[in-house]
Amino acid sequence: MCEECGCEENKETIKVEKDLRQENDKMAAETKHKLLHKKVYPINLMGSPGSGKTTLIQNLANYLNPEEIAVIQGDLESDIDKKKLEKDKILTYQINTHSGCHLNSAMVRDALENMQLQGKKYLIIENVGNLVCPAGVKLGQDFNIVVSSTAEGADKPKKYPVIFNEANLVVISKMDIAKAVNFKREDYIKDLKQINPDMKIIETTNTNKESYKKIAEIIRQNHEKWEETESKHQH
Amino acid sequence: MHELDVTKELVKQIKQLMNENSINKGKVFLEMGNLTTYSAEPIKFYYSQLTHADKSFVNKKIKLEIHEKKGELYCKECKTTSKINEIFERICPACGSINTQISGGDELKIKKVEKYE
Repeated sequence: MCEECGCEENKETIKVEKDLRQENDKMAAETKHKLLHKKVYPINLMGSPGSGKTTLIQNLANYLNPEEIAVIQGDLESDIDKKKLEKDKILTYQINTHSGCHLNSAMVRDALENMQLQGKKYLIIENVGNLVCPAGVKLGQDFNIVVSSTAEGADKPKKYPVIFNEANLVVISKMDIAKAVNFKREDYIKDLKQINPDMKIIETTNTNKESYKKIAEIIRQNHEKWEETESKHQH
Repeated sequence: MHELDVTKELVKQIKQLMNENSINKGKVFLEMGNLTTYSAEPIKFYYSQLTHADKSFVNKKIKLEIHEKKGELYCKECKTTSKINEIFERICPACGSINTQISGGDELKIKKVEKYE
């Protein structure tokens, strides 16, 4: 560099065009392919801490066979959720990120190497509770669910649009306390539809367990399509 | 804070480029779409921390320049592309149609590296 004027001499420009998420995404694609081959349907389950992610899995186990569900559980610390799910006879692998605010495809791949997926139909990856960081980080999933509780308020889609934009299904949880927290349901649904008109929205409440039935049905249908796709690959 | 993962990857890619092209002094250009959840400041911070602690960068100076790219919305009605700031801006500013799709703004890539003598 020229000391006088600061201009750079003998500049050579090397074109790169490399996405920083490429390595992660490549691993995610490999994971997805392996799971397709095993006919295990992968779901990325996201939402704020305490929104009801683990509760959703527990309730799904009333409509899907718990022995057919495998869970990868992500939290900074503790195995509280793993213990909860194991009580319901759901195979669960706990990842503690310690400081990581989201799961990545390397963590998921390592978890799967330690899991016995024989007889499993569904893999639910419960991401770290967070509406920011997990957005856009591919893990190998085919379906994104975002759980958002009434207690968090109806402005979440506007404040955290990226994660809602990639959701295939938004579960509005804790509808039983909607009135108590002054939840503006119509505003919320309108904002979601604006981000993605094709998004499925299902409201749940623990006082009516049937509200989880529809979600289980969607997951079951997705698994059937997954199986069909795999069968076509074989022929 | 999630910028740490991608910045680690950035440093890894830069080290590879430095080796392949014998770069001791240079500048790396990162393109970042404004529809992602990534921000420039944390990436710059992590970059300086990671390279400071890495012996591959001793006596070498590779600056980082980040260009933010605006989001793009393509309208299927009037066939124009407009710039947008937020991912939920879905109404075409040109004709008002909602028959649109995001066509850019999700980038996070190393565009090029300049090698100086």
